Amino acid sequence: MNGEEHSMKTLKPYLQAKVTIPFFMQVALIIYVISALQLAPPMVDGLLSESSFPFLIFLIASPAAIKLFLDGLKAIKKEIAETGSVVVVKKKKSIKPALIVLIMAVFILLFEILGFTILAPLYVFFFMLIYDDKPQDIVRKIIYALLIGVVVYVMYVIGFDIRFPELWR
Amino acid sequence: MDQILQILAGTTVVFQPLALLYLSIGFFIGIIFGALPGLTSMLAIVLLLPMTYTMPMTYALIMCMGVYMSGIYSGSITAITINIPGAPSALMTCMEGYPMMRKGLGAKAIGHATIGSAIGGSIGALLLIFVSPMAVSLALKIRTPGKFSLILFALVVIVIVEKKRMKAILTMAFGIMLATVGMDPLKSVSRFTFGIPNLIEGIDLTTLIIGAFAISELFDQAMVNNAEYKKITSAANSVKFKRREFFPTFKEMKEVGWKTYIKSSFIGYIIGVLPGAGASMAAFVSYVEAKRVSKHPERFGSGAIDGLVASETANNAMCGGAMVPMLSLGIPGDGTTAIILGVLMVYGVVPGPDLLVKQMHVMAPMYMALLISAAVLMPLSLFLFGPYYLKIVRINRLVLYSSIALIAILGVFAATYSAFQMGLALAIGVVMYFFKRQGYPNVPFILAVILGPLAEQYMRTTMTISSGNPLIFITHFDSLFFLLLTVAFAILLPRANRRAEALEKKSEEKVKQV
Repeated sequence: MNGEEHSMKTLKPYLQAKVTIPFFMQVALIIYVISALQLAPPMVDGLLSESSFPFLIFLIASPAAIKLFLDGLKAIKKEIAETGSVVVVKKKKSIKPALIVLIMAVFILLFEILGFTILAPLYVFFFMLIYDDKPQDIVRKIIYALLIGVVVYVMYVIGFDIRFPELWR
Repeated sequence: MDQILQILAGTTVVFQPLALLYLSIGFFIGIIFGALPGLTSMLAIVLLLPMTYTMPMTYALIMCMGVYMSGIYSGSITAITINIPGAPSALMTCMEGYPMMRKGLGAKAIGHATIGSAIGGSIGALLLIFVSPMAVSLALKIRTPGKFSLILFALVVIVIVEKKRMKAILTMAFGIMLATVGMDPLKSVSRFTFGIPNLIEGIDLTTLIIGAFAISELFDQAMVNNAEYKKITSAANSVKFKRREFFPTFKEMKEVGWKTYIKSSFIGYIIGVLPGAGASMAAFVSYVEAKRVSKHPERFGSGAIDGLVASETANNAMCGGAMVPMLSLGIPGDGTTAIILGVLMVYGVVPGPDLLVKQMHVMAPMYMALLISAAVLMPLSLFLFGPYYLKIVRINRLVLYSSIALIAILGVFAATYSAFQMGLALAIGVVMYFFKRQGYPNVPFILAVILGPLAEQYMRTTMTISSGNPLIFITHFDSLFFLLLTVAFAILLPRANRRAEALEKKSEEKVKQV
């Protein structure tokens, strides 16, 4: 347990985007190339197969991902050495992007079930609520949400002849 | 010559009432998106992309030209009035425009920026009209091995022109990884579907573009504090200009000199031709050149009109230049032309050297639309709408972004009729948001999405033609030419970049000080 806690303590400062992004990209590249190589080897009968191009991309992008990963580690180590402890660079952090992802995900999940008319104004309303600094002007937001819903409906459905799902359809 | 005549004949299409309506809509959308900090003309075209599905292609392209030209220009409005570039290309405009504003010469600065943009945009469009048909005849000589080497050249240059090259390679790889999902281009095999049937048809181009450019931007903008935004933009709200204040005097125009207009236009145009270079670089190089030759370099940074004119002329001239490789070779010159190429692909047009030969009748009005968009900047901005441009920042931010959020996500549905693709767009948006926060450039992503699958197709076809002999890339003259060009750029560009980056850093520091 102590060992686990210790390893968490030492790992935590390294869990910054400058390290995690190249790390996850490298993982994605490995999955990408393995998936390609499962189809065929890069060369079949002296000709390039369907895995050749993904293999080439892997060869080009992997060194870049590894370099960025090592650079990220080096930068954090330097930071620790200079300050004596871990000082995670304080960037402007906000929960808003995560909430936006959440309402978008809910909108997408329910879109084909509830349809445009019910969901679009709700989506716009909650979006505005999250985007604002604090919950205020609720009535105004409801009016804006309805108006935006109508304008976008007119633009897509009447203007561009696109049929959205509806609860009654 | 025939092609130039065809282009000129395109004028008749542009002057049809419906085409003029689309051009005007595009023009004003571009003005709004360009003037608002955080929004760009590229985002405007991204949002218009799904709507173009039901439009005739010519009108869609005409509208895009309006957005493109006016969006680059209108970035100067907030750059001058509140020292925040509406578009990234207007960064150099801040350097001279805002000090002029503080001296009470804001309207005059906008006037100079408008005239410079109109002249630069028009010269760029005229050069496009006369140069691209010539480039087409050369482009037609490019065979399949040459097509691969050409794309390789473009991809290498895109990485080299970026400041963070390793990050550019990763963004590019991410774009190619996503673009290769689905059916193999040459064999009936599906790749990277991981047993998900919805992925067999691949990830739609609209999904990729909206996810990477619109949805990721929404997450990024969510971090902006509304009260702070209102406070900053209230400075522009309080400004009131009279129409006559926009017009520069003849003496000022003479001081700037016709050479500055012409030289900046050519600089912008040539930089536009380089894949991935874009309007920011055009404005920067032109500004530095104007300072170098100026009789009063000491005035730069404190309201030098020639510096303002040089950057604004060049960034609009870039539009014409960026269209040359796109139209004649199928290689987009910057992010916005990549999205415009995406619009073409929506209509089933395959980008490549024979694009203009096969589709000239559809493309011709686009040239004229670009020229008209540039030419009308002057009368529309100086005589009619100039004072109203300042009110654009008054647009309610919450209404604007929630509308974009709805239009963007519904745009994916409109293009694909699939909630699965909407989910993919969201996922791509999240990844691109993290990339952006860490300074990963997004232009290589879109260029990779468009050029990656073509590069694969040409590479494998060439190797099949040569029975697996890679020497074919050297034995074909067109291919060898592009490979040598790639090597030359790989050696020369980083040197030029280092000098430019050092100068740019100094300039940015100066903007912050101002």
